[in-house]
Amino acid sequence: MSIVVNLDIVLAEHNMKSKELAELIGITEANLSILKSGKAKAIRFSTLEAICKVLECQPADILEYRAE
Amino acid sequence: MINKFPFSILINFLYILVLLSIFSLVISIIDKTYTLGTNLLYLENSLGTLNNNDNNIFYRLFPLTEILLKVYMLCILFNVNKIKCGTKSNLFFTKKNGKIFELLGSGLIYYSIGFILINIISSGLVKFGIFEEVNLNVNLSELIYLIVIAIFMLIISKILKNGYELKKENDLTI
Repeated sequence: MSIVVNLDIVLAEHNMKSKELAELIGITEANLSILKSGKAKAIRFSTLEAICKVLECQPADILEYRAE
Repeated sequence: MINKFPFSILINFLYILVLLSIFSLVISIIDKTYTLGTNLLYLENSLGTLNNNDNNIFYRLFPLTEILLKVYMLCILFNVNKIKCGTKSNLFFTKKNGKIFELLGSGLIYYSIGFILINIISSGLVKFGIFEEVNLNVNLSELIYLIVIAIFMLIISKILKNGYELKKENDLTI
């Protein structure tokens, strides 16, 4: 897919673990793993909003478009 | 609990009906096999005297086509028990259920077409005096209903396959 999820980078910048983020935004670790690995088909605005709120970032910091 | 009650009753009722159909088919197959056996014994006893009338051999072996079709129907009906049902969508909308419904639908269509063809061929042969009267124990109108049910099953299989794709996409929405 041309959309790349840079959640790992943002998490590393904030020194936060996936488990902590999953707990804070209210999704399972398995679902967060799907999101990070790029296997997710879609992301809800509510999830995106929660991630941005916790990590204090913009959606563009997490999602990136790369032409194939 | 209350919501689940009628659905489980329906499924159990379906299983009972399928079991009854299987039982009736087995009885029918035994009956036809007995007829075929007596016909074969008749042929064996009068082999020397039948040279002038070869059609008699085909007539005597005709129940074999019906037996084969009924065994095929039996195999189709055994697939009904493999359907996984439940009130949760992840139990019902599976690739396997879609395939089973497709198999049931197409199987019923082939079975009906087979019986219609046998009916047409036997009635044609009776009309031209080649065969004596053949009793198939199957109504043409019943076969039409069977084809309608088969088409519905094919539609359900399509719905299940599409539902599975939608469910997969929904599961991968975070």
